[in-house]
Amino acid sequence: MTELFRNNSPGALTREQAVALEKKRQKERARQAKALAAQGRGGDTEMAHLTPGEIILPEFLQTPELLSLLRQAAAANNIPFDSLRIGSRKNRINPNAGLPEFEGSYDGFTDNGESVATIGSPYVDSGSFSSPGFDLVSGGQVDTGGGGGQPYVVPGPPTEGITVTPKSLNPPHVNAFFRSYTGPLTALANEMKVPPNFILGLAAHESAWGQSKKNNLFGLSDANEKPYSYPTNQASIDAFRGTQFFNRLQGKSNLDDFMRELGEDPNNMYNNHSGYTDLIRGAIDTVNNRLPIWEQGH
Amino acid sequence: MRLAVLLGLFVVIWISQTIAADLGGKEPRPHWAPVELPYDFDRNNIRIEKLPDGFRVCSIANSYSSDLWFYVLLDREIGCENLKMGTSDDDKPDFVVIAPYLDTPLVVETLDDYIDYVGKPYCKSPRPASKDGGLGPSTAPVSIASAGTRIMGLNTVACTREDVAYDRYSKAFLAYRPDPAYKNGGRGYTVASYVHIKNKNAADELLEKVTSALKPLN
Repeated sequence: MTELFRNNSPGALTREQAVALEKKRQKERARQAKALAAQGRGGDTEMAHLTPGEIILPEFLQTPELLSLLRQAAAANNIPFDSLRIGSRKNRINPNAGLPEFEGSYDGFTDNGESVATIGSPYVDSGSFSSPGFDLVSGGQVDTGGGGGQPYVVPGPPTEGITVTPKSLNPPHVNAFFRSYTGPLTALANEMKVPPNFILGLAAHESAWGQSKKNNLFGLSDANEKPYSYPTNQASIDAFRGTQFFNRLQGKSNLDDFMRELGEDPNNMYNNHSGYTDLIRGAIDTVNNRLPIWEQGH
Repeated sequence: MRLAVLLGLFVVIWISQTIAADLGGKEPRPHWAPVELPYDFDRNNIRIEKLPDGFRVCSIANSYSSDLWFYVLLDREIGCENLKMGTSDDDKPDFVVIAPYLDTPLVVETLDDYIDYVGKPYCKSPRPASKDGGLGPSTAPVSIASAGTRIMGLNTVACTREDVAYDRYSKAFLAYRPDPAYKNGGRGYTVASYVHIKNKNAADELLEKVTSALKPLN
């Protein structure tokens, strides 16, 4: 059969040569794309294929509430949410240019070989997304993994009543953290006029999700470098009210402002190591992802 | 009489401030300080054994946070007290850092995740400038390779980058120990050099020494 398509004219490339040439061209296009990407301003380092009408959402607009809604909308449309985040390993890559693409049809989306069920599948393995997300299953046939997680329903079009279950259930100590501290830490956050998830994230990181043996939710230390021990975690929340950070973080409802305040004053930083605020950002992100799972489960 | 009243007032104020400090009302004053070795860091389950050749280990003393990183300065003549607060890693003297990581559950579950989420400064290319200090931008490529079980017998990955434009060389060992039972979460460990290129050989040597000095507490 292949004989029919063989080009025997002088100078014609063999199949192997053509493949090698195309690979070389792809490499060159990728190199050119990288060179163009390097021209980005203000922290821009990425290039992508976009369609007119698509909306870019800068980080400062990514409030927990908005992200939660977007996550649900993505789940309802069978789109792994992380695949929409610039720079994620889960971005779909245009093979011709080697750049991320976000074109409209995600039917049958596969992600690095990991299958994502389409609506109507009877069962979805609890999966191995490396980032928090949701698996989709059809109504009524839900594997809760034996951990007590409750499926819930995302209403509205384009599908009717998609049942969603967390891809992984929260570990018990994470649920215990939310159970014990969402109330008091939300009250603290409200006093400070900051989003509760910022305070939950800071406390989650500093206390290893409430596992501090010293009941020290905020990692507070005394003048001799020793972390305080408190009789209860509530006492450590009260102690936090007595620190300058209770005042300094007041009203910092934007994540960047909140982080800046944690590390801005060279003589009074919450922590000075270079990765600290990135880790707190990660903890807040985890709270954004995991709190809804806990909320749905009780 | 007035003098006596004034003196009495001062005494009352001094006593009340002392009591407040004893009760934990005193604000911490974070600063760089040398760490005496061996150092047991319960929070992250590591012991840092004594280093040969008198290298200094500096960390933040008296901060609000219990999350400590440890900087080993390549130049043994530089004291911890000479480090400035609030500066980025690009402004620090050449160093090897021990950066232990206490899990934020379910973002990190594997070594790959750990490299993806936490190891970005050393393993991602291009690397955007950190928002909050840390390492500057770099478009230099990174080589990622297995580094055996260098960190406490855990599977370890090495990320190496040489950025001629910024005159910086970095090599990071990263390892992650997941806890499938989720009883304590996972723990990650990064040991990384960040130095001027001329010092890369010395940095590689120190990186190996510092990595060998880490032991699990239990």
